[in-house]
Amino acid sequence: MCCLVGAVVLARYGSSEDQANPWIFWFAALWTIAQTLLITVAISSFRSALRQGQAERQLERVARLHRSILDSAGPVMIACDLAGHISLFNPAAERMLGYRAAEVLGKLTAGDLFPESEMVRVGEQLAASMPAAKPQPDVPANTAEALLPYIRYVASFPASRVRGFEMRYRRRDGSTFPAMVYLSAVRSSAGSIDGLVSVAVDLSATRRAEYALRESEERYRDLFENSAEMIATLSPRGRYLYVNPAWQNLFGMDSPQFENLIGFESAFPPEVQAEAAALFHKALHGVRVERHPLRLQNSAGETVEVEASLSCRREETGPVSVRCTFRDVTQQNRRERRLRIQLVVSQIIGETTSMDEGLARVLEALCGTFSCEFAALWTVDEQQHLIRARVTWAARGRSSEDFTRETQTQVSARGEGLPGMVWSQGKPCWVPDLRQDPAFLRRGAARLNGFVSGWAVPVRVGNQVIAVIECFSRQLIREDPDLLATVETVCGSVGQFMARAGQEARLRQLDRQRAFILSSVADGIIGVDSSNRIAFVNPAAARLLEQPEAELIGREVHETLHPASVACGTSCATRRAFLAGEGASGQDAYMRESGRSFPVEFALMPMVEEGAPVGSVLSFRDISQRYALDHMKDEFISTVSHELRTPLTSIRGALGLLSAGMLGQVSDKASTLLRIAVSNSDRLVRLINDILDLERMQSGRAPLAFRSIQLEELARQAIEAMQPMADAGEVHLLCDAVPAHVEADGDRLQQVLTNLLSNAIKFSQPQSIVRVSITRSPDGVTLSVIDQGRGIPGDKLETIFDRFQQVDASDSRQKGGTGLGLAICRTIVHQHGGRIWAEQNGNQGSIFRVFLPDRASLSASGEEVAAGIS
Amino acid sequence: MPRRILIIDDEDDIREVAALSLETVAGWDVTMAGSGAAGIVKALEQQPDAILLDVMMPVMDGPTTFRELHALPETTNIPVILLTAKVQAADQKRFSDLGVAAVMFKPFDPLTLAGEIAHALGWTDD
Repeated sequence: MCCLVGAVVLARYGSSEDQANPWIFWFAALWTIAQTLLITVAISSFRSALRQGQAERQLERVARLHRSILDSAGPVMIACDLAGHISLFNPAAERMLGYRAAEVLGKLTAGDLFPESEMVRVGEQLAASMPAAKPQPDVPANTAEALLPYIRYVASFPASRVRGFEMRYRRRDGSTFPAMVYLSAVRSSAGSIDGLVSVAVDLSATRRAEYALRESEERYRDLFENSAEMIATLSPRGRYLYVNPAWQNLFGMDSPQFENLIGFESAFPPEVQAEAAALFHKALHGVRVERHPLRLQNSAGETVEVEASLSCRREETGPVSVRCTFRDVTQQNRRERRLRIQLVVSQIIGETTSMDEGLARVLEALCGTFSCEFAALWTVDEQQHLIRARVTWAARGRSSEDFTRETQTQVSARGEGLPGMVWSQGKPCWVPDLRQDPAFLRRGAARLNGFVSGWAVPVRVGNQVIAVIECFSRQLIREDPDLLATVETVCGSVGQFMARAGQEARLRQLDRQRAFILSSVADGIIGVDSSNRIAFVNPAAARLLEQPEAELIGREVHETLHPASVACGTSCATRRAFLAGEGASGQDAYMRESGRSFPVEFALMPMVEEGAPVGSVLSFRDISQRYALDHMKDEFISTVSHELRTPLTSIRGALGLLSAGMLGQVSDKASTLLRIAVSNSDRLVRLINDILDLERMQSGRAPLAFRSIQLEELARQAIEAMQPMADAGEVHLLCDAVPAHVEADGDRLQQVLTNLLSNAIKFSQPQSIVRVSITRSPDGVTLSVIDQGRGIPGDKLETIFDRFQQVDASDSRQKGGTGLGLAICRTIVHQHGGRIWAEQNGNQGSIFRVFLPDRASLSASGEEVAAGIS
Repeated sequence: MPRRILIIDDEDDIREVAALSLETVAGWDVTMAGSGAAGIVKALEQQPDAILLDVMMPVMDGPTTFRELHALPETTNIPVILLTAKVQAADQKRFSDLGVAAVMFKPFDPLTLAGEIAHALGWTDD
């Protein structure tokens, strides 16, 4: 048994550690064999001697081993006795401390190898680390004071439990380095401690590496800690391992609070927990989550939008941790959203013509952008001081029926309910919880349809609130000033859109009114384009022309009114009016589809836009009835004049014959009476004639026959005609006329001159002069009749031209006038487009002047005047 | 030999005054008829030098009577002067277009009537 063990020990020894020593091996082998052979022989006699030899050789070997270890070992090995004198100083110590062993051994003490007070400091640490209850081990009395704590420390523990400690050594050059020191006691053969051995490992390199590592960690930690991104690391089971301050700030919790959470999603608000859990689950199962949008409320109650990225770190054994990074994109999203909604709204209002359709689309866009499910636009009725919903929009899906109905039927006064309040205050309003807000009148319906939060923003035009937009969500949304600011901007555009659409609606209404007016007037109205084709026909025109409106559109206007069968020729009033391109009016006859013509009175008005003619409007009126009436009137006048004249003829004839004495002598008195009767029957005849004349001229039924006339010739004829009357009154008639050519109706003008001369002679004293003068001016001719009679008072100069207005009421009786002469003159002159007036002739007499413009300068206007009089 | 004038007028008074005027002032020989038809008969019978014809008469008015007289060879050359109380321009035009010798208006001056007729018909010797 013993020899077997020895063999094994030796074999192991030889094979593994000391192959370089075959002698020992063979010796052991031979020894084992010999021992085996001589089992019982001389066992006891040789045992002790052989053991002795073995031990000596072993000791020698161990000593060599120790020496070689000491010499070649990396760690510093230094031994000292209890007084501190150094007894061992290995080559590593020489290398590290810069001393040669010879300089140290027996010359320096342990304290020389450490910086000042280092031994004391470390000694105190060691003393403090020892269990206080343990009794102080015995320390030899000759122990140096500085070594005491070290001795005690080493002595306190079994060798296996003595821990290393850090200590700084001082080199020969004074520099120091950290080392991990392992201390052990050197004991005497009696077992008492008589020295210390320290084995020290230089920590400089380790320290540098550790420092570098720590610094690197610090640097990364610093990055994480100061990062604006929210970073968290979680265990695969969802426990928070690390959260950076940004993450803590988002959720309003500190690190320990996170460590206590049982799952990733537990940190989130209830409404996003499911989504968060799903993301974590996805990442854990190897799907990388990249920039997933999440909306949540931060600890301050603000809505924060983040992009969540999650990834899982795995090792062979499975997932190790889940890294989670949130990037705050709230601002960026707001900017984008603001731009997008503004763009969308401007597109909508740019391409929509119907106001309600456009507004509904705006509401939809707002809901889409701000995660709402219902929106309404209320319009202000300023007249009735009310606000009522004009357009509503509800997302599909869950029913909004009750809320929609109540919104559509509710009418609020200023300041009442959410829209009324926004209207009166003119600023946005946020209702975080509709269901609890007593000021929110539709809270019952909101509860029924699940609406939770809502807001409303005024729509303004200038300073006036014209509408209110409100949006509602089924989620609890806290007040978001930025959202309201964005919506206010949008509402600015909506306000402009509504104002514009309102104007367009008013224009359309005006158009409808105009169309209604055009269709309800009895006059025919035809709109004609610049090429004289019919572009518009009102129902009256279609009726008068006996053609459907549609068939008239596009036809040439003149051919429609005067078909080829009507040879209207160049004198056609309508054709001339169209050719003139100016406003004109007159009378004409238009043809119905049936071929019957009817008399019309027409007016043509050119349409000019920005100086260019774009067409014209022809309005015409069927004057058949007026013609019939005129005819009846003519008949009546004709009859009256005949019936009045017939008896007058007999009276006048009989009186004339009697008065002239043709039927025998009458007494003087009878003769006087007969003369009075004759003169008055003459006056009656003149009166009848003048009344008929005036009526005829003013009714336009005595059209002028213009022709070329030498006015001075006409004046001479008039003077000639009036000469008998002038002779009777002993008045001298003079003519002072230059040759003057006019376009006029000679007979009518003669009537004017005669009338004026007759008046002048009537009111002139015997031997006075009545002069006719004619003067030419660039634009016409002025004819004057100048007398030296009794003159006309200034206030009568105008009125004498009115009917039956004479300077003196007795004139008609005394002078035999009818009181209609000047009225007839004025009518005739006006028909010529001229003017007639009276002036005072200095201090005696009066002047009647007639101005006749040249026909060229009149052209159409003469007709206008003629038509205007009728 | 005095001029022989036929006056056709339905108004008795006017016929009397006109006849009296022409007879006393000019010394003409005047016959009278109270209607157009009677006038034509008288004209055919008596072949007067001139006819003074009223316009407004019942049954057969002046223009109709004139056209009849003008159509009859026996009377077609007898000058006819229309005497009318209608003074409207349209009427005047219508009458002169008929082809009568002259149109004279009522009421007339009994002292100048004969002279005006003579003037219109170119009877210079009267």
